[in-house]
Amino acid sequence: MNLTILIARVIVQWRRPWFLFMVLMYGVLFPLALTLSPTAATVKQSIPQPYYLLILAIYIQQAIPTETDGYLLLVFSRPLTRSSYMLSRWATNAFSMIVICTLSLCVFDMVPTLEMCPVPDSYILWNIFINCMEYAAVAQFYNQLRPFGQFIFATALAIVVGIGQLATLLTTGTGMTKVEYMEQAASSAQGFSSMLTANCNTYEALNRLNPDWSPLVIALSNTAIFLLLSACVVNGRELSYAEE
Amino acid sequence: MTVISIENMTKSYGKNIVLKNISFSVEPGEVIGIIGPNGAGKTTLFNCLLGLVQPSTGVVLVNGESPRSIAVHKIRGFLPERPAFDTRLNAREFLLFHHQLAGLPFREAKRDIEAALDTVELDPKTRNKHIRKFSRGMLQRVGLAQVLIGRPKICILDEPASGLDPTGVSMVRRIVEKWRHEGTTVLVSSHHLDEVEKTCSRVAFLRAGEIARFNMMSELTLSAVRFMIHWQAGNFAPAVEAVAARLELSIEMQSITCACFEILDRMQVPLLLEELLKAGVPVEEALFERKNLESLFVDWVNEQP
Repeated sequence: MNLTILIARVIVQWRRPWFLFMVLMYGVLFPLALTLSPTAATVKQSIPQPYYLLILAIYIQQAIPTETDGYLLLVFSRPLTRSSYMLSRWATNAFSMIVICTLSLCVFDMVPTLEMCPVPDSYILWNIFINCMEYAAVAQFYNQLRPFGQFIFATALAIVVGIGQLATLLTTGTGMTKVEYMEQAASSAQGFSSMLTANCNTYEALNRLNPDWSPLVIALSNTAIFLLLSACVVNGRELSYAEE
Repeated sequence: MTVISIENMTKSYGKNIVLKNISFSVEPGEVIGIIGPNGAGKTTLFNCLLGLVQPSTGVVLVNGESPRSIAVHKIRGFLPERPAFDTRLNAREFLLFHHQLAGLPFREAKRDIEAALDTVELDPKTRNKHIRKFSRGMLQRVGLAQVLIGRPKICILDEPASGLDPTGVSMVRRIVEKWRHEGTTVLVSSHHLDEVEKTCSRVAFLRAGEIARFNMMSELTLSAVRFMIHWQAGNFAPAVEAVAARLELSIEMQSITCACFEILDRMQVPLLLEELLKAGVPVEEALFERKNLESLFVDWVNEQP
Protein backbone atom coordinates (compact mmCIF):
# COMPACT_ATOMS: atom_id res chain seq x y z
CA MET A 1 0.00 0.00 0.00
CA ASN A 2 1.28 3.46 -0.87
CA LEU A 3 0.49 6.20 1.65
CA THR A 4 1.03 9.04 -0.86
CA ILE A 5 -1.57 7.61 -3.22
CA LEU A 6 -3.97 7.03 -0.33
CA ILE A 7 -3.72 10.60 1.02
CA ALA A 8 -3.90 12.16 -2.44
CA ARG A 9 -6.95 10.08 -3.39
CA VAL A 10 -8.75 11.03 -0.17
CA ILE A 11 -8.03 14.73 -0.76
CA VAL A 12 -9.18 14.57 -4.37
CA GLN A 13 -12.28 12.54 -3.47
CA TRP A 14 -13.41 14.85 -0.68
CA ARG A 15 -12.91 17.94 -2.84
CA ARG A 16 -15.41 16.79 -5.42
CA PRO A 17 -18.85 18.39 -5.00
CA TRP A 18 -20.50 15.20 -6.27
CA PHE A 19 -18.82 13.16 -3.59
CA LEU A 20 -19.85 15.62 -0.88
CA PHE A 21 -23.39 15.50 -2.22
CA MET A 22 -23.25 11.71 -1.98
CA VAL A 23 -22.00 11.90 1.61
CA LEU A 24 -24.85 14.24 2.44
CA MET A 25 -27.42 12.05 0.68
CA TYR A 26 -26.34 8.60 1.87
CA GLY A 27 -24.76 9.62 5.14
CA VAL A 28 -27.30 12.13 6.45
CA LEU A 29 -30.52 12.74 4.50
CA PHE A 30 -31.31 9.15 3.57
CA PRO A 31 -30.80 7.79 7.12
CA LEU A 32 -32.69 10.77 8.54
CA ALA A 33 -35.70 9.83 6.39
CA LEU A 34 -35.40 6.22 7.47
CA THR A 35 -35.53 7.16 11.16
CA LEU A 36 -39.15 8.15 10.57
CA SER A 37 -40.00 4.63 9.48
CA PRO A 38 -41.74 2.37 12.05
CA THR A 39 -39.03 -0.25 11.49
CA ALA A 40 -36.19 2.21 12.00
CA ALA A 41 -34.58 0.10 14.74
CA THR A 42 -34.34 -2.88 12.34
CA VAL A 43 -32.96 -0.61 9.62
CA LYS A 44 -30.33 0.72 12.01
CA GLN A 45 -29.02 -2.70 12.96
CA SER A 46 -28.55 -3.59 9.29
CA ILE A 47 -26.92 -0.37 8.16
CA PRO A 48 -24.41 -2.03 5.84
CA GLN A 49 -27.13 -3.32 3.47
CA PRO A 50 -25.52 -5.52 0.76
CA TYR A 51 -26.87 -4.07 -2.48
CA TYR A 52 -26.93 -0.55 -1.12
CA LEU A 53 -23.27 -0.92 -0.21
CA LEU A 54 -22.38 -2.37 -3.61
CA ILE A 55 -24.05 0.53 -5.39
CA LEU A 56 -22.32 2.96 -3.04
CA ALA A 57 -18.95 1.31 -3.64
CA ILE A 58 -19.27 1.34 -7.42
CA TYR A 59 -20.58 4.88 -7.37
CA ILE A 60 -17.65 6.08 -5.26
CA GLN A 61 -15.26 4.44 -7.73
CA GLN A 62 -16.97 5.99 -10.72
CA ALA A 63 -17.27 9.41 -9.08
CA ILE A 64 -13.58 10.06 -9.74
CA PRO A 65 -13.14 10.42 -13.49
CA THR A 66 -9.35 10.81 -13.47
CA GLU A 67 -8.59 7.11 -13.79
CA THR A 68 -7.76 7.37 -17.48
CA ASP A 69 -4.79 5.66 -19.06
CA GLY A 70 -3.17 9.11 -19.40
CA TYR A 71 -3.38 9.55 -15.63
CA LEU A 72 -2.32 6.01 -14.78
CA LEU A 73 0.78 6.03 -16.91
CA LEU A 74 2.03 9.18 -15.16
CA VAL A 75 1.57 7.39 -11.85
CA PHE A 76 2.97 4.09 -13.11
CA SER A 77 6.08 5.84 -14.42
CA ARG A 78 6.93 6.39 -10.74
CA PRO A 79 8.62 3.77 -8.57
CA LEU A 80 5.58 1.97 -7.25
CA THR A 81 4.03 -1.36 -8.17
CA ARG A 82 0.67 -1.48 -9.85
CA SER A 83 -0.62 -3.73 -7.08
CA SER A 84 0.26 -1.19 -4.39
CA TYR A 85 -1.55 1.49 -6.39
CA MET A 86 -4.60 -0.76 -6.63
CA LEU A 87 -4.51 -1.53 -2.89
CA SER A 88 -4.23 2.18 -2.06
CA ARG A 89 -7.26 2.96 -4.18
CA TRP A 90 -9.19 0.18 -2.50
CA ALA A 91 -8.24 1.51 0.95
CA THR A 92 -9.33 5.04 -0.04
CA ASN A 93 -12.72 3.83 -1.21
CA ALA A 94 -13.21 1.55 1.80
CA PHE A 95 -12.36 4.53 4.04
CA SER A 96 -14.92 6.77 2.31
CA MET A 97 -17.60 4.09 2.57
CA ILE A 98 -16.84 3.55 6.26
CA VAL A 99 -17.16 7.30 6.87
CA ILE A 100 -20.53 7.46 5.07
CA CYS A 101 -21.92 4.42 6.91
CA THR A 102 -20.62 5.64 10.28
CA LEU A 103 -22.21 9.00 9.62
CA SER A 104 -25.55 7.32 8.98
CA LEU A 105 -25.14 5.35 12.24
CA CYS A 106 -24.60 8.65 14.06
CA VAL A 107 -27.79 10.01 12.51
CA PHE A 108 -29.73 7.00 13.80
CA ASP A 109 -28.13 7.41 17.21
CA MET A 110 -29.31 10.99 17.43
CA VAL A 111 -32.95 9.83 17.38
CA PRO A 112 -33.88 8.98 21.00
CA THR A 113 -36.74 6.62 20.07
CA LEU A 114 -34.25 4.19 18.56
CA GLU A 115 -32.53 3.47 21.84
CA MET A 116 -34.34 0.14 21.93
CA CYS A 117 -32.26 -1.25 19.06
CA PRO A 118 -31.04 -4.62 20.35
CA VAL A 119 -27.71 -4.55 18.51
CA PRO A 120 -24.97 -2.53 20.24
CA ASP A 121 -23.22 0.10 18.16
CA SER A 122 -19.89 -1.68 18.53
CA TYR A 123 -21.24 -4.64 16.52
CA ILE A 124 -22.74 -2.34 13.89
CA LEU A 125 -19.39 -0.57 13.57
CA TRP A 126 -17.66 -3.91 13.06
CA ASN A 127 -20.27 -4.80 10.42
CA ILE A 128 -19.64 -1.48 8.69
CA PHE A 129 -15.88 -1.96 8.77
CA ILE A 130 -15.86 -5.54 7.46
CA ASN A 131 -18.58 -5.10 4.84
CA CYS A 132 -17.20 -1.83 3.51
CA MET A 133 -13.80 -3.43 2.98
CA GLU A 134 -15.46 -6.32 1.16
CA TYR A 135 -17.67 -4.25 -1.09
CA ALA A 136 -14.88 -1.83 -1.85
CA ALA A 137 -12.89 -4.84 -3.07
CA VAL A 138 -15.78 -5.99 -5.31
CA ALA A 139 -16.09 -2.44 -6.70
CA GLN A 140 -12.34 -2.29 -7.17
CA PHE A 141 -12.48 -5.38 -9.34
CA TYR A 142 -15.44 -3.96 -11.26
CA ASN A 143 -13.54 -0.72 -11.83
CA GLN A 144 -10.46 -2.50 -13.15
CA LEU A 145 -12.49 -4.06 -15.95
CA ARG A 146 -12.77 -2.30 -19.27
CA PRO A 147 -16.23 -0.88 -20.14
CA PHE A 148 -17.16 -4.12 -21.91
CA GLY A 149 -16.13 -6.15 -18.87
CA GLN A 150 -18.07 -3.81 -16.60
CA PHE A 151 -21.14 -4.28 -18.78
CA ILE A 152 -20.81 -8.09 -18.57
CA PHE A 153 -20.26 -7.93 -14.80
CA ALA A 154 -23.22 -5.61 -14.20
CA THR A 155 -25.47 -7.65 -16.51
CA ALA A 156 -24.52 -10.94 -14.84
CA LEU A 157 -25.19 -9.41 -11.43
CA ALA A 158 -28.54 -8.00 -12.56
CA ILE A 159 -29.60 -11.37 -14.03
CA VAL A 160 -28.59 -13.25 -10.90
CA VAL A 161 -30.35 -10.81 -8.60
CA GLY A 162 -33.35 -10.71 -10.94
CA ILE A 163 -33.67 -14.52 -11.05
CA GLY A 164 -33.33 -14.67 -7.27
CA GLN A 165 -36.03 -12.06 -6.74
CA LEU A 166 -38.35 -13.58 -9.35
CA ALA A 167 -37.91 -17.08 -8.00
CA THR A 168 -38.53 -15.91 -4.45
CA LEU A 169 -41.67 -14.09 -5.58
CA LEU A 170 -43.05 -17.05 -7.50
CA THR A 171 -42.30 -19.63 -4.84
CA THR A 172 -43.68 -17.60 -1.95
CA GLY A 173 -46.62 -15.70 -3.33
CA THR A 174 -48.27 -17.87 -5.96
CA GLY A 175 -48.55 -21.32 -4.47
CA MET A 176 -45.81 -22.66 -6.72
CA THR A 177 -43.84 -23.95 -3.79
CA LYS A 178 -43.88 -27.44 -5.26
CA VAL A 179 -42.01 -26.36 -8.34
CA GLU A 180 -38.65 -27.80 -7.54
CA TYR A 181 -36.63 -26.15 -10.31
CA MET A 182 -37.78 -22.73 -9.22
CA GLU A 183 -36.55 -23.37 -5.71
CA GLN A 184 -33.27 -24.59 -7.12
CA ALA A 185 -32.98 -21.51 -9.30
CA ALA A 186 -33.65 -19.27 -6.32
CA SER A 187 -31.18 -21.06 -4.17
CA SER A 188 -28.40 -21.12 -6.77
CA ALA A 189 -29.00 -17.48 -7.72
CA GLN A 190 -28.85 -16.44 -4.09
CA GLY A 191 -25.76 -18.57 -3.61
CA PHE A 192 -24.02 -16.95 -6.55
CA SER A 193 -25.01 -13.43 -5.60
CA SER A 194 -23.96 -14.05 -2.00
CA MET A 195 -20.50 -14.73 -3.34
CA LEU A 196 -20.41 -11.12 -4.54
CA THR A 197 -22.43 -9.61 -1.78
CA ALA A 198 -21.98 -11.78 1.29
CA ASN A 199 -23.17 -9.70 4.21
CA CYS A 200 -21.29 -10.24 7.43
CA ASN A 201 -23.44 -9.68 10.53
CA THR A 202 -21.09 -9.97 13.48
CA TYR A 203 -23.89 -9.67 16.03
CA GLU A 204 -25.79 -12.69 14.67
CA ALA A 205 -22.63 -14.68 14.12
CA LEU A 206 -20.67 -14.02 17.27
CA ASN A 207 -23.15 -13.00 19.96
CA ARG A 208 -24.16 -16.55 20.92
CA LEU A 209 -22.90 -19.50 22.86
CA ASN A 210 -21.16 -21.13 19.92
CA PRO A 211 -19.86 -18.29 17.75
CA ASP A 212 -20.13 -18.91 14.02
CA TRP A 213 -17.03 -17.52 12.37
CA SER A 214 -18.02 -18.48 8.84
CA PRO A 215 -19.58 -15.08 7.81
CA LEU A 216 -16.40 -13.34 8.91
CA VAL A 217 -14.22 -15.82 7.04
CA ILE A 218 -16.40 -15.51 3.91
CA ALA A 219 -16.21 -11.70 4.01
CA LEU A 220 -12.45 -11.69 4.44
CA SER A 221 -11.88 -14.35 1.78
CA ASN A 222 -14.18 -12.43 -0.62
CA THR A 223 -12.12 -9.31 0.03
CA ALA A 224 -8.88 -11.18 -0.62
CA ILE A 225 -10.18 -12.91 -3.77
CA PHE A 226 -11.47 -9.71 -5.37
CA LEU A 227 -8.28 -7.82 -4.52
CA LEU A 228 -6.23 -10.64 -6.00
CA LEU A 229 -8.36 -10.62 -9.16
CA SER A 230 -7.98 -6.83 -9.38
CA ALA A 231 -4.21 -7.14 -9.00
CA CYS A 232 -4.13 -9.71 -11.83
CA VAL A 233 -6.18 -7.42 -14.08
CA VAL A 234 -4.18 -4.27 -13.33
CA ASN A 235 -0.84 -6.04 -13.76
CA GLY A 236 -1.85 -7.59 -17.06
CA ARG A 237 -3.31 -4.38 -18.44
CA GLU A 238 -1.52 -2.72 -21.33
CA LEU A 239 -1.71 1.03 -21.05
CA SER A 240 -1.49 3.14 -24.12
CA TYR A 241 -2.13 6.84 -24.12
CA ALA A 242 -2.23 6.72 -27.90
CA GLU A 243 -5.60 4.99 -27.73
CA GLU A 244 -7.31 7.77 -25.79
CA MET B 1 27.30 0.94 -20.39
CA THR B 2 24.35 1.11 -22.77
CA VAL B 3 21.38 2.87 -21.19
CA ILE B 4 18.71 1.65 -23.59
CA SER B 5 19.00 -1.49 -25.64
CA ILE B 6 16.32 -2.77 -28.00
CA GLU B 7 16.89 -5.93 -30.03
CA ASN B 8 14.59 -7.22 -32.76
CA MET B 9 11.52 -5.83 -31.07
CA THR B 10 8.19 -6.34 -32.76
CA LYS B 11 4.82 -5.28 -31.45
CA SER B 12 1.61 -6.40 -33.06
CA TYR B 13 -2.06 -6.21 -32.16
CA GLY B 14 -3.61 -9.22 -33.85
CA LYS B 15 -2.65 -9.00 -37.52
CA ASN B 16 -1.75 -5.33 -37.24
CA ILE B 17 2.04 -5.05 -36.88
CA VAL B 18 2.78 -1.71 -35.26
CA LEU B 19 6.54 -2.06 -34.80
CA LYS B 20 8.78 -4.31 -36.91
CA ASN B 21 12.25 -5.53 -35.95
CA ILE B 22 13.29 -2.45 -34.05
CA SER B 23 16.92 -2.58 -32.90
CA PHE B 24 19.02 0.24 -31.51
CA SER B 25 20.96 1.21 -28.44
CA VAL B 26 21.46 4.50 -26.64
CA GLU B 27 24.58 5.51 -24.75
CA PRO B 28 24.53 7.62 -21.56
CA GLY B 29 24.09 11.34 -22.15
CA GLU B 30 22.80 11.01 -25.70
CA VAL B 31 19.82 13.06 -26.85
CA ILE B 32 17.88 11.03 -29.39
CA GLY B 33 15.13 12.45 -31.55
CA ILE B 34 12.43 10.06 -32.66
CA ILE B 35 10.61 11.47 -35.65
CA GLY B 36 8.17 10.10 -38.16
CA PRO B 37 4.78 10.74 -39.71
CA ASN B 38 1.60 10.25 -37.69
CA GLY B 39 0.89 6.59 -37.01
CA ALA B 40 4.52 5.55 -37.59
CA GLY B 41 4.72 3.84 -34.18
CA LYS B 42 6.58 6.46 -32.10
CA THR B 43 4.16 6.30 -29.19
CA THR B 44 4.10 2.49 -29.20
CA LEU B 45 7.90 2.52 -29.14
CA PHE B 46 7.78 4.77 -26.07
CA ASN B 47 5.10 2.57 -24.51
CA CYS B 48 7.47 -0.40 -24.86
CA LEU B 49 10.35 1.56 -23.34
CA LEU B 50 8.13 2.53 -20.43
CA GLY B 51 6.96 -1.03 -19.86
CA LEU B 52 3.37 0.02 -20.46
CA VAL B 53 2.98 -2.51 -23.27
CA GLN B 54 4.75 -5.80 -23.67
CA PRO B 55 6.62 -6.32 -26.96
CA SER B 56 5.36 -9.29 -28.99
CA THR B 57 8.94 -10.41 -29.69
CA GLY B 58 12.40 -9.11 -28.94
CA VAL B 59 14.15 -7.70 -25.91
CA VAL B 60 13.93 -4.23 -24.37
CA LEU B 61 16.37 -3.33 -21.60
CA VAL B 62 16.68 -0.04 -19.77
CA ASN B 63 19.87 0.24 -17.75
CA GLY B 64 20.21 -3.52 -18.17
CA GLU B 65 16.83 -4.25 -16.58
CA SER B 66 13.22 -4.74 -17.61
CA PRO B 67 11.46 -1.41 -18.28
CA ARG B 68 8.89 -2.39 -15.62
CA SER B 69 11.39 -2.81 -12.80
CA ILE B 70 11.17 -0.40 -9.87
CA ALA B 71 14.88 0.41 -10.18
CA VAL B 72 14.26 1.71 -13.71
CA HIS B 73 11.22 3.72 -12.58
CA LYS B 74 13.45 5.51 -10.05
CA ILE B 75 15.78 6.89 -12.71
CA ARG B 76 13.32 7.48 -15.54
CA GLY B 77 11.16 10.52 -16.14
CA PHE B 78 8.31 10.62 -18.60
CA LEU B 79 6.12 13.23 -20.19
CA PRO B 80 3.22 11.85 -22.24
CA GLU B 81 1.83 13.65 -25.24
CA ARG B 82 -1.41 14.36 -23.42
CA PRO B 83 -0.80 14.12 -19.68
CA ALA B 84 -3.93 13.68 -17.53
CA PHE B 85 -3.98 15.27 -14.10
CA ASP B 86 -5.99 15.21 -10.90
CA THR B 87 -7.76 18.41 -11.77
CA ARG B 88 -8.79 19.09 -8.16
CA LEU B 89 -5.15 19.54 -7.18
CA ASN B 90 -3.20 22.71 -7.77
CA ALA B 91 0.21 22.73 -9.47
CA ARG B 92 2.15 22.62 -6.20
CA GLU B 93 0.02 19.79 -4.78
CA PHE B 94 0.33 17.81 -8.00
CA LEU B 95 4.11 18.12 -7.91
CA LEU B 96 4.19 17.27 -4.19
CA PHE B 97 2.23 14.12 -5.06
CA HIS B 98 4.85 13.15 -7.65
CA HIS B 99 7.70 14.18 -5.37
CA GLN B 100 6.45 11.75 -2.75
CA LEU B 101 5.74 9.03 -5.30
CA ALA B 102 9.35 9.40 -6.46
CA GLY B 103 10.38 8.58 -2.89
CA LEU B 104 12.24 11.86 -2.36
CA PRO B 105 12.61 13.34 1.16
CA PHE B 106 9.63 15.43 2.21
CA ARG B 107 11.85 18.18 3.68
CA GLU B 108 13.24 18.84 0.19
CA ALA B 109 9.81 18.96 -1.44
CA LYS B 110 9.17 22.70 -1.25
CA ARG B 111 12.60 23.59 -2.63
CA ASP B 112 12.39 21.01 -5.45
CA ILE B 113 8.85 21.99 -6.44
CA GLU B 114 9.60 25.71 -6.60
CA ALA B 115 12.80 25.04 -8.56
CA ALA B 116 10.88 22.88 -11.08
CA LEU B 117 8.11 25.46 -11.45
CA ASP B 118 10.69 28.21 -11.93
CA THR B 119 12.47 26.14 -14.59
CA VAL B 120 9.27 25.65 -16.58
CA GLU B 121 8.45 29.33 -16.07
CA LEU B 122 4.97 28.79 -14.68
CA ASP B 123 3.51 32.09 -13.56
CA PRO B 124 3.77 32.25 -9.71
CA LYS B 125 0.19 33.58 -9.55
CA THR B 126 -1.17 30.37 -11.06
CA ARG B 127 0.75 27.89 -8.91
CA ASN B 128 -1.98 27.62 -6.29
CA LYS B 129 -4.83 27.44 -8.80
CA HIS B 130 -6.64 24.20 -9.51
CA ILE B 131 -5.18 22.45 -12.56
CA ARG B 132 -8.63 22.29 -14.18
CA LYS B 133 -8.38 26.05 -14.76
CA PHE B 134 -5.10 25.70 -16.67
CA SER B 135 -4.66 26.28 -20.40
CA ARG B 136 -3.10 23.65 -22.67
CA GLY B 137 0.31 25.33 -22.50
CA MET B 138 0.18 25.64 -18.70
CA LEU B 139 -0.69 21.94 -18.42
CA GLN B 140 2.29 21.10 -20.58
CA ARG B 141 4.54 23.18 -18.31
CA VAL B 142 3.22 21.35 -15.23
CA GLY B 143 3.81 18.04 -17.02
CA LEU B 144 7.41 19.04 -17.73
CA ALA B 145 7.89 20.15 -14.12
CA GLN B 146 6.69 16.68 -13.11
CA VAL B 147 9.53 15.15 -15.15
CA LEU B 148 12.05 17.46 -13.46
CA ILE B 149 10.80 16.51 -10.00
CA GLY B 150 12.09 12.96 -10.15
CA ARG B 151 15.71 14.04 -10.96
CA PRO B 152 15.73 11.46 -13.75
CA LYS B 153 18.77 9.99 -15.45
CA ILE B 154 16.69 8.94 -18.46
CA CYS B 155 13.96 11.19 -19.84
CA ILE B 156 11.33 10.17 -22.33
CA LEU B 157 9.42 13.11 -23.73
CA ASP B 158 6.56 12.74 -26.16
CA GLU B 159 5.83 16.02 -27.89
CA PRO B 160 7.20 18.18 -25.05
CA ALA B 161 6.60 21.42 -26.94
CA SER B 162 3.02 20.60 -27.87
CA GLY B 163 0.67 23.48 -27.05
CA LEU B 164 3.49 25.78 -25.95
CA ASP B 165 4.05 29.31 -27.20
CA PRO B 166 7.45 30.22 -28.76
CA THR B 167 8.92 31.15 -25.36
CA GLY B 168 7.76 27.79 -24.06
CA VAL B 169 9.36 25.99 -26.99
CA SER B 170 12.71 27.64 -26.29
CA MET B 171 12.27 26.82 -22.59
CA VAL B 172 11.95 23.12 -23.53
CA ARG B 173 15.12 23.43 -25.62
CA ARG B 174 16.98 24.95 -22.66
CA ILE B 175 15.83 22.13 -20.38
CA VAL B 176 16.95 19.45 -22.85
CA GLU B 177 20.30 21.19 -23.32
CA LYS B 178 20.74 21.37 -19.54
CA TRP B 179 20.03 17.65 -19.31
CA ARG B 180 22.58 16.98 -22.03
CA HIS B 181 25.25 18.92 -20.15
CA GLU B 182 24.39 16.98 -16.98
CA GLY B 183 24.74 13.66 -18.81
CA THR B 184 21.03 12.77 -18.74
CA THR B 185 19.89 10.51 -21.54
CA VAL B 186 16.92 11.95 -23.41
CA LEU B 187 14.56 10.44 -25.95
CA VAL B 188 12.30 13.01 -27.49
CA SER B 189 9.56 12.70 -30.04
CA SER B 190 8.54 15.94 -31.64
CA HIS B 191 7.07 17.49 -34.74
CA HIS B 192 9.03 20.68 -33.98
CA LEU B 193 11.83 19.48 -36.27
CA ASP B 194 13.89 22.63 -35.92
CA GLU B 195 14.02 21.98 -32.16
CA VAL B 196 15.01 18.35 -32.76
CA GLU B 197 17.73 19.56 -35.09
CA LYS B 198 19.06 21.98 -32.49
CA THR B 199 19.01 19.67 -29.50
CA CYS B 200 19.46 16.04 -30.63
CA SER B 201 22.73 14.26 -31.25
CA ARG B 202 21.08 11.43 -33.19
CA VAL B 203 17.77 11.10 -34.94
CA ALA B 204 15.70 8.02 -35.71
CA PHE B 205 13.16 8.24 -38.50
CA LEU B 206 10.27 5.83 -38.06
CA ARG B 207 8.07 4.92 -40.98
CA ALA B 208 5.29 2.30 -40.90
CA GLY B 209 6.68 0.74 -37.73
CA GLU B 210 10.26 0.45 -38.96
CA ILE B 211 13.34 2.52 -38.33
CA ALA B 212 14.03 3.75 -41.85
CA ARG B 213 17.03 5.85 -40.79
CA PHE B 214 19.06 6.30 -37.63
CA ASN B 215 21.86 8.84 -38.09
CA MET B 216 23.99 11.30 -36.26
CA MET B 217 22.49 14.74 -36.75
CA SER B 218 25.81 16.10 -38.05
CA GLU B 219 25.94 13.36 -40.74
CA LEU B 220 22.46 14.18 -41.91
CA THR B 221 22.79 17.91 -42.23
CA LEU B 222 26.27 17.80 -43.78
CA SER B 223 25.50 15.11 -46.31
CA ALA B 224 22.32 16.69 -47.55
CA VAL B 225 23.30 19.72 -49.60
CA ARG B 226 21.36 21.84 -52.04
CA PHE B 227 22.82 24.14 -54.66
CA MET B 228 20.79 27.21 -55.41
CA ILE B 229 21.31 29.36 -58.49
CA HIS B 230 19.63 32.65 -59.28
CA TRP B 231 19.32 34.45 -62.59
CA GLN B 232 17.46 37.41 -64.05
CA ALA B 233 13.85 36.75 -64.85
CA GLY B 234 13.34 34.92 -68.09
CA ASN B 235 12.18 31.62 -69.48
CA PHE B 236 15.23 29.47 -68.80
CA ALA B 237 13.34 26.50 -67.44
CA PRO B 238 13.84 24.26 -70.53
CA ALA B 239 17.59 24.97 -70.54
CA VAL B 240 17.94 24.33 -66.80
CA GLU B 241 15.96 21.09 -67.07
CA ALA B 242 18.07 19.93 -70.00
CA VAL B 243 21.30 20.54 -68.04
CA ALA B 244 19.92 18.73 -65.00
CA ALA B 245 18.91 15.75 -67.16
CA ARG B 246 22.32 15.64 -68.81
CA LEU B 247 24.17 15.67 -65.47
CA GLU B 248 21.57 13.35 -63.84
CA LEU B 249 20.75 15.86 -61.12
CA SER B 250 17.34 16.37 -59.63
CA ILE B 251 15.74 19.80 -59.39
CA GLU B 252 14.07 20.29 -56.04
CA MET B 253 12.46 23.59 -56.78
CA GLN B 254 12.31 25.92 -59.74
CA SER B 255 10.82 29.35 -60.36
CA ILE B 256 11.14 32.11 -62.92
CA THR B 257 14.33 33.45 -61.26
CA CYS B 258 15.93 30.49 -59.52
CA ALA B 259 16.40 26.74 -59.34
CA CYS B 260 17.53 24.46 -56.57
CA PHE B 261 19.51 21.30 -57.34
CA GLU B 262 20.07 18.36 -55.02
CA ILE B 263 23.81 17.74 -54.91
CA LEU B 264 25.20 14.43 -53.70
CA ASP B 265 28.78 15.13 -54.75
CA ARG B 266 30.19 18.64 -54.43
CA MET B 267 32.56 17.95 -57.34
CA GLN B 268 29.55 18.18 -59.64
CA VAL B 269 29.11 21.89 -58.91
CA PRO B 270 31.78 23.39 -61.25
CA LEU B 271 30.52 21.20 -64.06
CA LEU B 272 26.94 22.25 -63.39
CA LEU B 273 27.84 25.93 -63.47
CA GLU B 274 29.81 25.47 -66.68
CA GLU B 275 26.93 23.64 -68.37
CA LEU B 276 24.39 26.25 -67.24
CA LEU B 277 26.49 29.09 -68.65
CA LYS B 278 27.01 27.15 -71.87
CA ALA B 279 23.23 26.71 -72.11
CA GLY B 280 22.82 30.48 -71.91
CA VAL B 281 21.47 30.73 -68.37
CA PRO B 282 22.64 34.15 -67.01
CA VAL B 283 23.66 32.97 -63.51
CA GLU B 284 23.85 35.92 -61.11
CA GLU B 285 24.31 34.13 -57.81
CA ALA B 286 25.11 30.56 -56.76
CA LEU B 287 25.24 29.23 -53.22
CA PHE B 288 25.22 26.03 -51.20
CA GLU B 289 22.40 25.43 -48.79
CA ARG B 290 22.40 22.66 -46.19
CA LYS B 291 19.12 20.83 -46.03
CA ASN B 292 17.37 21.21 -42.73
CA LEU B 293 15.67 18.33 -40.93
CA GLU B 294 12.26 19.47 -42.07
CA SER B 295 13.13 19.13 -45.74
CA LEU B 296 14.87 15.82 -45.07
CA PHE B 297 11.75 14.66 -43.25
CA VAL B 298 9.58 15.53 -46.26
CA ASP B 299 12.02 13.67 -48.55
CA TRP B 300 11.98 10.59 -46.31
CA VAL B 301 8.20 10.55 -46.05
CA ASN B 302 7.94 10.69 -49.85
CA GLU B 303 10.59 7.99 -50.35
CA GLN B 304 9.33 4.57 -51.38
CA PRO B 305 9.92 2.05 -48.56
